[in-house]
Amino acid sequence: MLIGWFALLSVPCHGADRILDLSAADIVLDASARPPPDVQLWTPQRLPDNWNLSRPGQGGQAWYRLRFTLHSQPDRLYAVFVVKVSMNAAFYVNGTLLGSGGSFEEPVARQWNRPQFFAIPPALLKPGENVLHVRLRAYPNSRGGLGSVRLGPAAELQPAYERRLFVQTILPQLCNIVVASLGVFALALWWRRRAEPTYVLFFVFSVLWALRSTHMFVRDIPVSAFHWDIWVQSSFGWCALLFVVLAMRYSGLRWPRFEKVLLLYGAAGPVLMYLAGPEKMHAVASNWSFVIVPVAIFFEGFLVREAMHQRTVVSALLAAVWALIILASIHDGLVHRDKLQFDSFYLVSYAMILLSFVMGWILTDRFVTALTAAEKMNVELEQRVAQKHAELEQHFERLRQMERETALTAERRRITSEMHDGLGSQLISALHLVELTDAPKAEIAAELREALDTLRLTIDSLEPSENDLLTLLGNLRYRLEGRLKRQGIALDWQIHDLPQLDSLTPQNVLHILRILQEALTNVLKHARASRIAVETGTSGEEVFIRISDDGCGFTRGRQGRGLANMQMRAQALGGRLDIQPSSAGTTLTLHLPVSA
Amino acid sequence: MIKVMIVEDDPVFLNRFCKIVTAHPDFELFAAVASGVAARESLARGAPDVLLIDLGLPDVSGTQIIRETAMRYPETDIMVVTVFGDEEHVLASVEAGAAGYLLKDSLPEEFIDVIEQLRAGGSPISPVIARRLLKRLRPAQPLLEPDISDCRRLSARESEILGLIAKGFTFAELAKLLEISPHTVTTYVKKIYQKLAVHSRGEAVYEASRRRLIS
Repeated sequence: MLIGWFALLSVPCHGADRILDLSAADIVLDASARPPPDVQLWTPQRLPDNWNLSRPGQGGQAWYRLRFTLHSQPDRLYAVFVVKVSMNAAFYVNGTLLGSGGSFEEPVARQWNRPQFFAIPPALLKPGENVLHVRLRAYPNSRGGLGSVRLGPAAELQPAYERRLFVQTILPQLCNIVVASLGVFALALWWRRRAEPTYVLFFVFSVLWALRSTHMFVRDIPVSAFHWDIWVQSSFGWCALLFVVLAMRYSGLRWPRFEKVLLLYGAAGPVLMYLAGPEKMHAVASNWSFVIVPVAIFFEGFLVREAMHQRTVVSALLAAVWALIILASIHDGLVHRDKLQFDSFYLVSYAMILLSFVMGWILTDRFVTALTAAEKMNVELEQRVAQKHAELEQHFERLRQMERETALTAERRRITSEMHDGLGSQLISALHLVELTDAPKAEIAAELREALDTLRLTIDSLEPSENDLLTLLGNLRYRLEGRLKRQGIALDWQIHDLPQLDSLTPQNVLHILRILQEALTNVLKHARASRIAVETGTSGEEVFIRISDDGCGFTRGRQGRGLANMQMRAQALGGRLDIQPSSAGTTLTLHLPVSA
Repeated sequence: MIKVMIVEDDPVFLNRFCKIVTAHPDFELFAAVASGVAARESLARGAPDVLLIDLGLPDVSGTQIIRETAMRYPETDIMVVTVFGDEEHVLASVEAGAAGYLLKDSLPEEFIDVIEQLRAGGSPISPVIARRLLKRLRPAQPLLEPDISDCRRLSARESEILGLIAKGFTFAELAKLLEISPHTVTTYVKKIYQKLAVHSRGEAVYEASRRRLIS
């Protein structure tokens, strides 16, 4: 009766479509799966009901009963909306199940951070008094309980529910994806640049945080609630410690002993919680985390100093975000210790996402800086290569110059010696003839023409011969044709194709031409021949060039020097000269090796 | 009468050539000058039948005069007068449009022979130059030089003739070997020379179009 009156008082009825804020309830600790009957021992309980405060150390199942009055039969879909239940709840209207958060057996479905929203078909409601039963399952000392309950038209409650759902469930999920992606990105960077272990540290930090933050929306856990809580509580401390190490590394601080202490402290957390057991675990976890707070605050001082020193956007952001995290942690600590409203939710995860962004920015920045430096280095390297290349080029140019000079010198020496032996001596004999006043003019002219022929042969030998001995022979004939014709000597040209000779350098070409010229002029001058035959052929590994005439043969003496010269040239060619004088004429054969 | 013009900067040679020309009943001295500029002036007045020219003139290069004359008077036979008859000089002047060359120390009768041979449609050629021509005007290699039309290439017969000349055979021997008249051989050689001139002009055009100098 009293309860009914209370319900009437707290729920003024201004119309059928009002949203009802139900804060008056009755509670009974009952493990049954169905709403207990009214005959049980119900005690009044105002909502929100935080078991940490109302039933310290108490866990298990309870039933809440909320009465509400409707003036008329609703014609729209209704809904019940509860901001916070812990750990799990199921809702019944007038004895009919609306919906359940999941398992009520161990491990209990984790609904602690999920707003509850269940539709009520209008047919379940009736004008006058109605009853809402809430089945609740709570863990001891872990903020179990039931928040304030709102009931009304579904369409009007839904936006508030969805806002809450987004902030407490969907946003953490999105953040987790982003943080984990940043971590993987950092790992990828590290993979390409092994020298930077900071990237791995950031990866571990991000992934740890992402895994840890799943506790905000995971409903069914694979382990017992005790173990799960140990993981959630200690991983939070680990992330904070890890961040301290990370930021120290970033600032260039290396305190290995301090890092070791942090590591040990981090490892001690879960051990202590485990040893404390399910009952005292939360107290231990709270104290363990609390010790980290001064470290974090000390570190904030360090970050602020660093920001003042560096005066960069990044360092200022880092200090600001860290301060935000400390504030969020204090807020969460207060929530955890029930100093704030039961419906409040934890904030540190949202601050942490900002931290991840800043860290990601820092690492990317460092990577880009390194990349730029590498590019600059590449450019310098290219310049150096180009410089070396130019130096080498110069060096080769000098070598080529030297080669050219050497070749020129050799050629000059060759020509000089030819001029000396051939042209020079012929001009001297011509001069000698001119000086003899009685010398016949024709003889002088002949001597001079011979000199000119020699000069032409020398020039011919300078042309690239391309190993074509026959053309050289042809040219010799062409040069001497005029003289042969004038002397009425018939030339029998029996030229046959010859294999290529390996050693036809300009030097050797001139040797051959001079031997043959000498032989032919000897015939022209002294043999009184009427016919000359020139023949080429191959015998074994040699080729031969034969000049035979029908003249009166050699007369030793004046030609002696010429002959010696020819023999010398033949030797220089690696060939040999064979001269067979006879009364019927002379045969001169020059044998040349095919291969050098 | 064959009108002969001589361009030679050495007065001794110029004098000698003039004497040979004037002494011959069939020849008429068209002009005898000692510089490129003077040569141009004389050529502006009319065309000689034969132009004898030294390459080493003091003012204008002999090849330039040859090129101009060959363009202006295609009927004029141009001969280069050279001391050595070396490949480089002869080929350069043949490319410019000369039909042959004459050695400076030629005896008067040789001198006259060559001019008459030239007028009769033949050109002298040395084995070294024949071989070089054979290489330059080698029969079609269409893949390598698609721009040069086949008419500028050697025919099989021309290649054969050049090949034999390169081996030192005389025109008379060649004629006997190929069973043609010596006159035909000299005509062949003159034609080959013309091909070289056209060929080098063609190369110049090809080169120019390749460098987009002309469209």
